[in-house]
Amino acid sequence: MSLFPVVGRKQPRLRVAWWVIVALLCLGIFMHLIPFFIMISTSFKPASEAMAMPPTLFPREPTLAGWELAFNMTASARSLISQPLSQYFINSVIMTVGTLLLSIPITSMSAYACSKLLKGRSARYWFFFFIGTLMLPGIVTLIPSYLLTRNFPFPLPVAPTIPGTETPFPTIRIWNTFWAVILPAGFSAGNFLLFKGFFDSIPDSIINAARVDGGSEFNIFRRIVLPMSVPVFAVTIYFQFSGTWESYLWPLVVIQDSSIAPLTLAVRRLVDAFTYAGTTNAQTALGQSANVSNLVNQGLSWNGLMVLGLLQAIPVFLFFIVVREYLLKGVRIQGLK
Amino acid sequence: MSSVQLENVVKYYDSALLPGAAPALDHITLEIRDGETVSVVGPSGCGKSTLLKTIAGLERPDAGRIFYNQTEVTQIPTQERGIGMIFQDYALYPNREGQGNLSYYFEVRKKTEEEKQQRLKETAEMMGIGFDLLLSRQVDTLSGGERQRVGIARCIVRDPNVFLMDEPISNLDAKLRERTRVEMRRLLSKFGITTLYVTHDQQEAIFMGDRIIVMRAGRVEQFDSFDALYYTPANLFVASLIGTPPISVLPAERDGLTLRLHSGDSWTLPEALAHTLPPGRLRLAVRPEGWLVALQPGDGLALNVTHIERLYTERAAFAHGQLGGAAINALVPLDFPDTRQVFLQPDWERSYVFHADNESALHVPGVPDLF
Amino acid sequence: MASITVTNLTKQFAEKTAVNAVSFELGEHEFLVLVGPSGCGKTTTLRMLAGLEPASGGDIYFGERRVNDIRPRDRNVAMVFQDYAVFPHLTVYDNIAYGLRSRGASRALIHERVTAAAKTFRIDQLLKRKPRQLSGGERQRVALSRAMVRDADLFLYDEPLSNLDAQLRHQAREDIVALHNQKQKPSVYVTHDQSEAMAMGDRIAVMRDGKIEQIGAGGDLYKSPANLFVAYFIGTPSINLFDVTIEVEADEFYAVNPGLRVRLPAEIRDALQTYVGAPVKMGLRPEDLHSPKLAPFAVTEFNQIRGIVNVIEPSSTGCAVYLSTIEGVPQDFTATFRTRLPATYLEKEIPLALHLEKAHFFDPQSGLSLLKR
Repeated sequence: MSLFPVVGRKQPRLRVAWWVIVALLCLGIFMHLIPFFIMISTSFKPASEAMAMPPTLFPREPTLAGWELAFNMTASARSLISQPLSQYFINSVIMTVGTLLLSIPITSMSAYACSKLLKGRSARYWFFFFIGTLMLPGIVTLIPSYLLTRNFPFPLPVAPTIPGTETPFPTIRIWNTFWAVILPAGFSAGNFLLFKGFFDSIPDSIINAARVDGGSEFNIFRRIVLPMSVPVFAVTIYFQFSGTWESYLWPLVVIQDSSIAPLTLAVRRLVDAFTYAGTTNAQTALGQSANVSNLVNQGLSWNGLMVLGLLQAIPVFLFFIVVREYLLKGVRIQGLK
Repeated sequence: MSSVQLENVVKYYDSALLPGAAPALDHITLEIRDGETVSVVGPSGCGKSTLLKTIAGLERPDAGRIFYNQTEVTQIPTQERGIGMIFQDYALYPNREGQGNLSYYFEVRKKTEEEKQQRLKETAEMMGIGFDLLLSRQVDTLSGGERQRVGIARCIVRDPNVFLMDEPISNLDAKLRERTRVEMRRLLSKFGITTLYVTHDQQEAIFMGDRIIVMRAGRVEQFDSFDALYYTPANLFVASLIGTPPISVLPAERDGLTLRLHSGDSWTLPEALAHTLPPGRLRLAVRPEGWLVALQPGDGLALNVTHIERLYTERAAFAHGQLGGAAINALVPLDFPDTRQVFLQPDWERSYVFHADNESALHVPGVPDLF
Repeated sequence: MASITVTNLTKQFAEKTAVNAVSFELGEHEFLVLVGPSGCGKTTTLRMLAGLEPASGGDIYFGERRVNDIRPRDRNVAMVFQDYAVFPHLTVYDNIAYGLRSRGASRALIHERVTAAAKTFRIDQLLKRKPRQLSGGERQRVALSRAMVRDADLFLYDEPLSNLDAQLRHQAREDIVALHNQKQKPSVYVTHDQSEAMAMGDRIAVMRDGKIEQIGAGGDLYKSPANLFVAYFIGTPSINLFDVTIEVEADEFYAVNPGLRVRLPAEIRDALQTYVGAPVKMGLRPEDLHSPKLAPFAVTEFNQIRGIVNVIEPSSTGCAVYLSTIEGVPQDFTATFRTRLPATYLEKEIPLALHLEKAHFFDPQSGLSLLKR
């Protein structure tokens, strides 16, 4: 399908409309690219130029100072972020990979069960049960979820006592561990919908053919359905990856210990320090914080923060390139019809 | 190889307790003999695919029992029934090439490599010339006809007890369909496997089936040979389903020897026939070859011909028109003139009469003695 | 006067030529059927006529106007699709009225046209329903009504019957003929089913691999096919083809293969003169194979073939018998009879008389017919 009729583009009225649409699309693309350009451009500017007024479009004296500092700054920024940057990077990787390993199998198999194994009424009920979480905004469940990580399985500040005794019920505390980030993401309703939509489009006859061939339900899922579903797995893994990698609010709530904090928290803490300092020049910064001043004296400014921002974004971007083909094609079955 | 029996099989898709729930299968009892090919035909939604799936074990009946060779299999899962099934959309595993489709069965059965190769070789031989070329190809590079061949091979590679086919060729081109069904019929008679063949096309059902099951709304209306269905249909539904062009049905009223149509025109009934019929409302049904067609008005009623369809292969033509509110297709000779009007009278020997309300047969011609 | 003229119409997809220099003319009231196996380019041709697909080459003229670069809306064509293409969110009435409304017709005219069309196709009871409450046959009639209300210059049908149950197809066919008879406009109808083509078309164009193999009235295509493909494609059951060699013995021509030795009629000797000693394909329609006792010609030992009966398919006009030859590699052939062959003949060997006056001969390489009939 094309956006515009294929035949008749040369008719005068259509030709004007065609150019108007092309112009609008170009404008849209341009506007989306500006922030990225500014990030990249700023990351190569020296500190003094980063906040210069009027801003410069291209760095006048391109330098790698920002990049160097971003990788080596922790020594001088210990009080801002306690660990080397690589530690935060590793923490993020652990959380993201852990989430993927847990969430993708659980979500895909539940979607498969809902799509192909359940029939009639029960399928409908289960479906609503599974996607029910989509109906509440995440912010509403934030506090109960937080309490759950403190006193699982009770969403209460303090575990209730066993009736007739003074001892509280035993609880599990996953708060302030990696599990607090990984476990709640074990099922993703959004990905469930994607999976189910895809599995629904697999003809029942293929599943039935495999049953007639003698495959057990799990074997059918693993040997027949899974290889057919590479596109949808690529898409959901991408969503899950970028969602976890970029998550900020939830880790902020459940991770206190700086040694297990993800990259997002660390970057945010640095940015906060700068904005609290309220400045980018050494004199005023000195009054606010010796550390910030120290950094700025080494030449770090918003250029360095842009580097951190890029470092945060690059893995998602790389992942996007890997699954780009599937994302652009959309989720559809190939080689069936 | 085995026979298949169904005993009072009932299947509901929604809960039977709901008011107005109609069963997909309504007390089906039938027996398919060992080695026989049986076609199942009926309009969409009549339960023919459900019947097939229930026999396969892909659907569990809500009541009743199913036997393969006198052994009850009602509770045995599909995986262990040893059947072969062919689907309308071929249902090949799209991520495997031809050979991978055949070998999945051996993978899940943990069969040895030699056994697999042995069976594959035998199957390729049975499937005929050029089949091994299909095995190495990816499924999406195969044409419809080739996919169906792989589908058939996937079934016979395991030597099934029962062959179940769900509209296997209805996705093919008309011309390819004609060729494929001949080939399938020959393969089936070579294997001698008990086969159930579901189709919505009565012509295909006639061609493929030794006997034919006609289904409507979850019930078996009639299960018999083509001749019996054609000449002695149990009711109007069977009569109008079997035969192309379809039988013409005229609502009428009998008064003595007069058979009056809704348009007010009437024919005179032969006495012998009139006596067997109750007075009052009836339905007269006449097959295309059951009309006496004349160019001159005699005892016949005028039919305005909309067009004449000439079938060279059958050396015949059909005159189409409307009479008494019913669509008429009358068989005429191939060289019939391009006229706008003909005069029709039923050949009473070859006419059918049905009850006006419950549509059961009151008079049928019976199988003619041709030889 | 031709109202639609197509010359050298070509459609090139990335690597494949879907339609290759197709030319035809369409008279003012003519019903042309494009028929061919799937992938032969018939639907692409239709879509180019509608303007849904740009032509890569050639011209399309509606009357005097070249329409290649005119968008579908401005071409004023009506089209009926295979999947009916009924708008699911509109009632039947609004569906039928859509074409008129989008062209700004008056309310009164719309009402008059829609009710009349609905009456013609027996859906006047359903006008307030939504399409999902309709059966396939009813949806098809909605699609036909939608075409009916339009004053289109050209009516296009893209396999409109192929999604219908066999029993409904006959009635729907009559409906389309009725629509055409009422509109009296040029129509192009695409199908892969040759029996449908034979039943409906004033003229039929048989297509293969993007080319028109032959175009003409149904009877002409049947009686004098230009080549092997047309001979095979037109007619069900298909024409029987035998690989034979032409031999001459005592001034008589014989067609010979391991299971067959038949003497050819004198009239066609000239046409076969250059093929003596060479292989040709001999085609015989199933109805030209007769039971020896009932044959309308003298049966000799030189016009018979023997075969084993594989399948007997009864039909309302008699039956079709599928046989295979005995000698050499078994070859399938078919005969149609006006009487029913009893099932007792199954698996039996029977002789059949060949009506060789009706035989066709084709060059095995080029596939061209050797006879000018």
